[in-house]
Amino acid sequence: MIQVTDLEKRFGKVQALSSLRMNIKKASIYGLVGANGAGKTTVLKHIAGILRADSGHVTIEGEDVYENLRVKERSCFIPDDLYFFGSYSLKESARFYSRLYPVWNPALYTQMAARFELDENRKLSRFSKGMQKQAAFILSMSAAPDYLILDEPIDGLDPLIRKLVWKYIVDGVAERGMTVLVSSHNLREMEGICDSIGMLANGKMLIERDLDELKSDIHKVQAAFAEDVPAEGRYEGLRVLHKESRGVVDLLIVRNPKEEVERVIGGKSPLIFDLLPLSLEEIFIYEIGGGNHDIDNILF
Amino acid sequence: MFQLDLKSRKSIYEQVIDNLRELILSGALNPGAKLPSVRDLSKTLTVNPNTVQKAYRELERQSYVYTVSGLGTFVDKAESRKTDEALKRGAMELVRRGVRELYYSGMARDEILAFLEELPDSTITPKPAPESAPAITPETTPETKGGQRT
Amino acid sequence: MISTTSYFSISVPLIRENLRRFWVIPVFGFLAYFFTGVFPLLMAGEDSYSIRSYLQTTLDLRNPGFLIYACLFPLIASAMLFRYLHAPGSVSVMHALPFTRRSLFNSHYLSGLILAGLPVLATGVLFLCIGAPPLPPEAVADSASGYPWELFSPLHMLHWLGMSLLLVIFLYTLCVLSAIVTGNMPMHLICSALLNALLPALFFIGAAYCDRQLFGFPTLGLALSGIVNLSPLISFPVSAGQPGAPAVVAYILVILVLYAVTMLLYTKKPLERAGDSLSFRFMDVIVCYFIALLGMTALAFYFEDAMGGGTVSFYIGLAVGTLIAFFLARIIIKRTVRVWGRETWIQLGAYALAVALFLTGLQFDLFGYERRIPVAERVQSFSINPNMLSLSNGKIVYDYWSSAGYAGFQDPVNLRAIMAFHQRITENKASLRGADNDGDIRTNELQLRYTLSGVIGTSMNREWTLPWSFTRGDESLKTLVESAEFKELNRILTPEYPEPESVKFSQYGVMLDVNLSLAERRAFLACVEKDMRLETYAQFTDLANPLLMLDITLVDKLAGRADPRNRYVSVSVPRHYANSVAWLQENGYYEQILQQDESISSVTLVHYVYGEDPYNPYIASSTERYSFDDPALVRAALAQGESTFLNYRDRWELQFTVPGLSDSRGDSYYGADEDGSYFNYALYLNEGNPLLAQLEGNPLLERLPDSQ
Repeated sequence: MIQVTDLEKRFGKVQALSSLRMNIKKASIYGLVGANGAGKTTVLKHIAGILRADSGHVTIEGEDVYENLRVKERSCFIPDDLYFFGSYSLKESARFYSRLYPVWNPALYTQMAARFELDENRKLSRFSKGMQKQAAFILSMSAAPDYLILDEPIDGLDPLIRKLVWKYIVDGVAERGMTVLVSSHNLREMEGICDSIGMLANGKMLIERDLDELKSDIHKVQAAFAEDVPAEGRYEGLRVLHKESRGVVDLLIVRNPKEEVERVIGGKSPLIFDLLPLSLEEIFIYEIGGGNHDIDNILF
Repeated sequence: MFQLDLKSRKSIYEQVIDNLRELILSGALNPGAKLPSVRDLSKTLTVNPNTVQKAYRELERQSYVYTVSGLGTFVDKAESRKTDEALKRGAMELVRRGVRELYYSGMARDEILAFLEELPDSTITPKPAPESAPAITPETTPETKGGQRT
Repeated sequence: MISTTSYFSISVPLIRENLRRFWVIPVFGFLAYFFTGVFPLLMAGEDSYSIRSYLQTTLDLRNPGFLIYACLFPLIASAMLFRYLHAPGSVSVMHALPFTRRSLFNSHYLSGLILAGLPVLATGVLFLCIGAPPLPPEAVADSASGYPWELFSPLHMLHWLGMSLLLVIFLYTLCVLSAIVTGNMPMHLICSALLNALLPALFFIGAAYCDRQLFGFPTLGLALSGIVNLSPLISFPVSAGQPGAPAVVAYILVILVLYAVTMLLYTKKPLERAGDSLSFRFMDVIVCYFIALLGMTALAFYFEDAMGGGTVSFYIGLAVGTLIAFFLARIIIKRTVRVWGRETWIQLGAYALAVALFLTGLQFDLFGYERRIPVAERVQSFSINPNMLSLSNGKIVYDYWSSAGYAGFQDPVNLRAIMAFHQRITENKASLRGADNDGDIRTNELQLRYTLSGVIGTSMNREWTLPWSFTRGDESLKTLVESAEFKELNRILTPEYPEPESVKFSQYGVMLDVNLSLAERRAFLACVEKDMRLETYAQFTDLANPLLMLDITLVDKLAGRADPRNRYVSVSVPRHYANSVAWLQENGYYEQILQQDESISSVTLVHYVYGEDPYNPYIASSTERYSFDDPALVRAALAQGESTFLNYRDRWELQFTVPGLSDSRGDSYYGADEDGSYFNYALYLNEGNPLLAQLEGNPLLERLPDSQ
């Protein structure tokens, strides 16, 4: 597992990360989300062993990551802006990687290169950006890492390729118990694949939960009652985060599990009662955005 | 095996549970049948293995399936299954809403009750559904307030 | 594969990849070295002097092409290998790979060494294989000149190889340091170039201030010897690859220290600053200070020069230069025009304080430089420059092609004498300071170099410009000049040059028609040398017009050498050299010499006084002109006139025309008199000359009209 404890990092006058805590369980797919500039890439770079924390710990399986060869040999990092050795082709890069990492799966490499339809003899610099991402992905996966760290991996990839990427990732998690840490803005896709979510804001971890728990915690409600049900106390017992009345119908966001909401409201025989979980995107907008003007994006 | 609706409000976890339960209840998976391993199912659906794992655990908790370590997960006998109160409530709510919709559409109360009476047995104990090929691409389904299964 | 990554802190796969990626560098390097070094050697079928000379130049590390390559290929290698540090993407990827920073650095460093060093190694091996070109017998003798081995022997070539590799490693290490402290390619290139020049530049700057402030600071001499060893790029060509064991050891130590420092910096390098000009905050300060130092020095000296040499203009230049250069540097580094913040002022303040302290220390000689005299027990020997002790009166055996001083005074008596003189200088420094700026008082320059015992501080160098009056009557110098050691050093005939090939006589710049046979030359010079040995200090410093000047050609002892080297000296024969005069008389040359004297029929005496007219300081404000032709007086003038004046601004000048120098030679040495009349020789009557009293109010003098 990956553990970040009280991580502090400062760049000049800017405090990029403060008292950051993260827990990523083994063989999970952890999604790191946050606004631009929240510090996602910085965190990933710490976990990849590129940056050194000012204070705090970044450990994988209990061992500090920074300058730790044993740990780095088992993890791969794919950044947002890629880099390959100047004139190298995929094949030459693969040869280099195969010598660098203790485990190398040539069969997987060949299969992936074929599946992604990349010419392994062509210079990587000649590839389009999307194809370079695919190449980086192939190289990393062929090194059979126990920890895969991805910064905006699917940004710029077409839907077919994206599906292929997730497939291989899921394969790796299922087959080998690979732990995956992904940072992305594409919350819809993350929702479909991640089991844990960490929301970063201003260098601090705002929420870190199991995705399903996160979603089960908060719901949006549309309810309308007969006139004889008093307006007061309709939602007593519920943690109402936001309430808006449009005529007869109330629109609410409540932080309660589904059963509780059904019990409280359903028990009052509503005329209209619609209960929906929020999507990850909506939760993000609400938690990170935090202003009332964002609520309109969430409510119906 | 079944398809997932990625655009649905329902979480993948719930969808997996629902789909498997449907397969079991409809008889498509008979007691004693072996479910695909967590690994295989997650790979087939391109879904987080942990999610599949959690679904299997929940199904086991509800006594729909049981796990033999080393061998796999198998469908349990019908008698062991516990009543899923939440499911019951949800289904009742659905019926309630459906009835209300019938009412809005213009059906009178008596008509609705007669309709309910006349529901054939097949509605309550449906025949096994034909096997659908496991698909990777999600199908876009029109979004409704209740969510839908395929 | 894995184990090599963790043991020894290098990554063999990475080195392999680097070599594979950049094989072009050593290939091009080898081709360059080959075509400029080995190829000419291969083409030298038969003995050819130019090829031999070229090879010797190359093996002496003086081949300019090779020196350029030694700078170029390490720079290219370091730039290519460390280029990944210049962009955030590449930096991240490289550091996410399974390396420690240390192994990453070591691997790249080693890769570059191999890339830059291979061409040199290959060239060295080729030299050894091809071997020495055929050498004529006289060329073998060349090997006696300065090498501890035979010319073109394998040892010679191995020496080249070793020194070249050392040079390449040194320059490469500097380039790598620059790669680590800078963040983008242009800065890396600039910084690499600057680092090589950094020490000499700092040295020059420091020397400039010291020279200005410190009485006795030797500029030229010190610069040449001190700066040379600061960088192997300078010292190797200058010393033909033999700068001395201490220098070589120092270079190796510097390489090791720089390597360790650079590795440390690499482990601490803030990767988020990839792409910025400078990677480290402390570099900002250093660069600012350096630029400020340059600007300040340039403007201070320029202002002083342009505004007529005042101290005030110097300080104005200092202040203005500092402000402009410092703020400019801050703007460049911070990449914004808004640099008025606290940080700038604090840094500026610290800098100004340091400069003020330094200059104050110099001004008041707080470092003790001006007062210092070496500890007597430590002085082993000293050397002085020859023209210290004579003022164109020819008493020093002047060698036209060699400017070497008298080296190696070791006699304890002489050591004490020179130190006493040194002491006297320091005691009188207040009055002596500035003598070099007063262009009117005759001065001469003393360059004193001590060799001291001990490990460090083995030499002490001083240079002073001293008024002639100060040196003339000094007792210590008397001891020195009359010592046997001095006489031995100041000889015409030496063991290396014992044979006078020709001796020419000249008087007043006119060559006399005299041809001496070999026997005569030897005999005459023996007399001259005898007289020189007997000469007293008073006689030595006597400025009286010599009887004649000798131009002597001496031949290299190693006769039969392909290019023999002669030595050309000039010596004067004053009238008090009794033996020489006697010989000339006995051999019938004396009359010829006197004839010249006799041929001068009249002498013009001019008294120049300057400075009374403040608006025309360089035009004499009053001139008295006389003429006389009384034979006795003329003879006295020629005999007692002095060969140089001691005070320009108030001088008595004896001008005369020498029949042997034709008038068509309009640009004779002394030029035209201010009233336009020509003369071609002049003597002077300085204060205290008895002839002055004789001529005062002498009726035989005819007053000429003053020039206007």
